[in-house]
Amino acid sequence: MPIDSFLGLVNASGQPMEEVASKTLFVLKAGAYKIPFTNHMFMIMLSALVLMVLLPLGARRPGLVPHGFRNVIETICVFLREDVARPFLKERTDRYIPFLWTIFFFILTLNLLGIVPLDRIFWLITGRPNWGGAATANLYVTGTLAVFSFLLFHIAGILEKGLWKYLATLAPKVPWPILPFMFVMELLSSFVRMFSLAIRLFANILAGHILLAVLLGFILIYKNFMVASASIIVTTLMSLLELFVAFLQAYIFTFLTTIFIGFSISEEH
Amino acid sequence: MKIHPAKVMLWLLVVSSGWAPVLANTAQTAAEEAEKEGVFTGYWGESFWTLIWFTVLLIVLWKFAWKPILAGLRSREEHIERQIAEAEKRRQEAEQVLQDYRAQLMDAERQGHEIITRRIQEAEEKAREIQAQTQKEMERIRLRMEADLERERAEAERQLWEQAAVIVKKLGREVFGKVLDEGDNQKLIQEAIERLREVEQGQS
Repeated sequence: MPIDSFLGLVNASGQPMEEVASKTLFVLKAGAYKIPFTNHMFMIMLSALVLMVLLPLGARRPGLVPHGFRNVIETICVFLREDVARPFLKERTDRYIPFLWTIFFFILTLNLLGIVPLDRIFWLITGRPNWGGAATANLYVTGTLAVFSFLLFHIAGILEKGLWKYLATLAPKVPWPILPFMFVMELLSSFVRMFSLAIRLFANILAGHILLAVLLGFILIYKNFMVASASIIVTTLMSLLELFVAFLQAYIFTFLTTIFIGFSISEEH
Repeated sequence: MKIHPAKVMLWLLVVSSGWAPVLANTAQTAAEEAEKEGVFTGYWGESFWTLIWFTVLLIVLWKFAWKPILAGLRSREEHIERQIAEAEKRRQEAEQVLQDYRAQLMDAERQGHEIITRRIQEAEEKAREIQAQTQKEMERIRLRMEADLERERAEAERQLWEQAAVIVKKLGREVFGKVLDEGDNQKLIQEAIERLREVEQGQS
């Protein structure tokens, strides 16, 4: 195999950052404007389409006892509904659970498809590079999901309590001289929550992919069978860890969103 | 209050519409910026794209996946609740039947005890009656035997006295050589009897 092909298969340029970078696949021209279509946009679209096909297919089989793929989906859904959402949202669980399910499955699918070397597979088949990547290693993507979460828990609070009551209950019950300060602090904390959601998901997925790229990069640097063997073994183990992280980060994002919704709609907040 | 996805989407649309001018202004330069490598690579178009696809995904899944799944889960919950309620009802019924049986058993035991006690009392009463009757019969037999004995004794005594009179009469004829007339006999007999009675009384 020529070295260029090998580089294409393993690591396009030997630069770890390129693994997670947003790369333009083609540019859409809208009048005078040029809108780049990136690999992360492709992955987002692919993930959404996969979910739009698989989940309705899995959910369409009625029956009291679920079987097969529906069983897998329902196990996750029931866990999120009963063990994650119900303790915080109580009787309002079913109102918000579709949002939480969608967030979880979307992030999980983005994470999992990010682990799959789709760009290499696509490159082997078509010869076109970069058609893949980890979209959740893009801060603009995780930021948008965090903004959605931010909007969701504020909208939930406003819809449940009404705008003025929600604003009134945003700050805790404290003596009036420090109330404005606390109100501003609470408002800031809700923004901090949004940023923490975005950064946590982004950083975890980014770090995992950079680590994998670095580990594979050792093969190109040392060009040694011993290093290559060790690198492949460690990369395999780290990939398993990344698989776990993919689930974990989707769970954490969903769990924190649930908590924030719970804070917003609870009477004492 | 029911939260309709369309309402949430409207909110999102209002918020996201504010991004459109930003997107338009930055799109031209973003194409070049996106090519730069770094940790924070990306541009606003990706955010907008994410929002659009996420919104579409949410609407599609809400209608075609979450609704059937939620309906399935609810129907299963209701089924399980019904089963639990039914089981609880059956348990209570069984408990009631068990209590009834226990009450019946206790009643039967009580009745058994009463019957046994009554029968024992009746048997004791019967035994007492039989005993009393037996004693009465024995007393009656004893009295009859005593009467018979007395009668026999009196008869024997009478016969004895008759024999004694005959012997005295014979003795008188032999001793005195004459036949005593009726008056003598009567007198002698009377005297002999008196003496014998005195002897008898002296012995007793």
